[in-house]
Amino acid sequence: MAAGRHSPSTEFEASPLRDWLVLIAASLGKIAVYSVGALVFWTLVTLPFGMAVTTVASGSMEPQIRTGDVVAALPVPESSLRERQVILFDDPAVEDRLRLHRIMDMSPAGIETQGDANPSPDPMLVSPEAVVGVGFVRIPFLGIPTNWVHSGEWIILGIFLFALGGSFAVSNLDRDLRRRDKSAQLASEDATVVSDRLPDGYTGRSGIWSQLAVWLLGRQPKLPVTRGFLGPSRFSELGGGVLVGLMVAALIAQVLTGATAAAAFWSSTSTTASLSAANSFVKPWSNAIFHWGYGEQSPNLGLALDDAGSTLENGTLAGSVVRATDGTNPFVTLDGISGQIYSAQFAGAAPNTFSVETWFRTTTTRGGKLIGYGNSQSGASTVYDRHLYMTDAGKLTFGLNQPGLLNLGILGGPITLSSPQSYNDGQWHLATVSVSSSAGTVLYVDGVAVASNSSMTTGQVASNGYWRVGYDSIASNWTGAPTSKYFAGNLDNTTLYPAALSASEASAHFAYGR
Amino acid sequence: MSRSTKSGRTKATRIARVAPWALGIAVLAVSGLAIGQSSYAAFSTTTDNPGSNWKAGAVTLSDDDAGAAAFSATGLKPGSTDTKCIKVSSTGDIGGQVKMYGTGHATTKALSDNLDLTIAVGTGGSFASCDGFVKSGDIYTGTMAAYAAAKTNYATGTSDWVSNKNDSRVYQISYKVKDTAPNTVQGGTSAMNFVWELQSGTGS
Repeated sequence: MAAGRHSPSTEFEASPLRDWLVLIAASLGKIAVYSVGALVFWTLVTLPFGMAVTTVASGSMEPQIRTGDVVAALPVPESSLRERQVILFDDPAVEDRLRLHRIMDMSPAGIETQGDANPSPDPMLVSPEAVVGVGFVRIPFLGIPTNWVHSGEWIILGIFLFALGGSFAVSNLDRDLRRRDKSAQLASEDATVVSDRLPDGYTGRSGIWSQLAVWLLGRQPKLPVTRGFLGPSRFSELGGGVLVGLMVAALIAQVLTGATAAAAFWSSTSTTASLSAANSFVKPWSNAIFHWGYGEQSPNLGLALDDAGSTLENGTLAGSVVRATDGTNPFVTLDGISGQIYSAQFAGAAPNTFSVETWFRTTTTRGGKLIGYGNSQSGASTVYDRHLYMTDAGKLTFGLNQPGLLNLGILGGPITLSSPQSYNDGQWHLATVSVSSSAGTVLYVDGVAVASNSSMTTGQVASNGYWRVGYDSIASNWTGAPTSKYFAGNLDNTTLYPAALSASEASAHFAYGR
Repeated sequence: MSRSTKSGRTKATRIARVAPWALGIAVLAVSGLAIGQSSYAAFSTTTDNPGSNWKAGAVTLSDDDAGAAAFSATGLKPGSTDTKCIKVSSTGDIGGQVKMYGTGHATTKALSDNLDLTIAVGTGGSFASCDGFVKSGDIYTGTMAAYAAAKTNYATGTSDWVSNKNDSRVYQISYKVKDTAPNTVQGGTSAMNFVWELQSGTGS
């Protein structure tokens, strides 16, 4: 044999079965390594085209785009955007985040987007300037390690890198096979066939790389073919190492600098507020003698205090009177058996020009007194009139005990007017009685006149009496005298005015509300 | 025999020399085709209607108002006030930041400028009653009009709650008509939708 020719190893025990197993294992390793490399390769291919490469971090574009995909988006002019394209854009809802969703609609107000796996479009529109690009290439799986890094799953990442390194090691198990094959090939060839222009030390045909090396470098020292610096086996090892190195470098670069795009899930819920102001802010009782709104707090729970603060106009709660509120508006509940409210003593003559007013709500069928003037502070008055009471049927009646000629009771006596309708319907109503010594009496319910009598101008001559609310005497000779003198129901804003209210005032008081 | 001539060269060894190139080209080709196909499927504009793939159970925000309005009040006067609690719950597999904002605001006669709005967050209480509400933070204090101008969408909404899946908060909303509301506000109106929205993957 020529000197320097590499001799085949005759000591090698060639086992066909072991060769096949090694080959299969190494091939599987190569497929694993090459697959990762191919994903990186195709990603790199997109870069010269100016595509923006991102990792998908969530799943609202499933099933077509999944968490862990790498997506390359191609920048396009605004005019090229079309409905149904998937676009990568600066998320308007979340700062410093990209979103990858599908265009649903385009309008001058903005682009409406939606995730394929979301039930409804994204709440915020996207401006065209925020669009980074249109989805063009989808490389599956390659973003999974990036997502592991971002979510801190170091153990799984470590396992993956270990598996990748292991696959690389396994993929080179067939190195021995290739070397044996190569040297056997050379051994079977006649060295003299090879050009004898080759200098000593060369074993002849050894592939393009070695020939190139010879040509470039001239005389060469002996280089075993199978270990030639640029021999095919070494090349494949070198190439494999470079490939793996590139992959790891690309993965690291992507993790450190690559953007992550969310395919964001979202959900929302809402409630409404609908508020409207009263038509009149002017407090009806600005000029009242007393006004009881029943909003007192402890320790004044037994009192109905006039808004003006004068103690003369305070009222006292007696019997079963319970304070209540419907959210923010206080009122009182009388039980119809013992509950009442009475004023302090009013010195001087009882008025003939005045108005009484109260909000009320009841379902009673036994009637009762709402408000009236009497000579007893808390008991059954013997001298009383100027009273508003409800009949058993629920109608409102107002009465004066007119003094008659020369105040001698001739052609005088009780005179009443009544509402045609009943109001014991469980709803809040406003009763306003306006008494004028010149024009007579008008009864308003809910701001509308329902009864009037121009002859009712003068009440009983009396003085130093009390205003009674919820209870006082009502003799049977009063028209529609109720079964119960105690009123059962709710009262609010009980007011005494020093003047005869006009129709427009009565209407405004109702518009003001409770 | 021929084997000894080849001295260890078998079918396996021959294939082993071709394998790197063959496998490399094959993987590249198959991956290229697969990526091409997956890209077409993902980015084709002829897909099904989005939303038909709705991933039920991903995340759902709901509240306990049963469709009723938090506030529906008329006849408001200077000093009129009311308070309501509402429990917002997140269910599903996904967490994220919940933000609150307002939409659909409309007002006449400047009622919104004369409505003081207070929003707090905490636990306890429900839409039925605020009894047991324990405040853990103030969300907003100001007028309804200022809220409507500032808190208009998720990006500008108030943020106080990062949902970690399957949890809830109670929000207490109060309004008061300013005592100084002028008579020009009489008959005015104010309407607002209060929205709670969760975006996945935020706030952590």
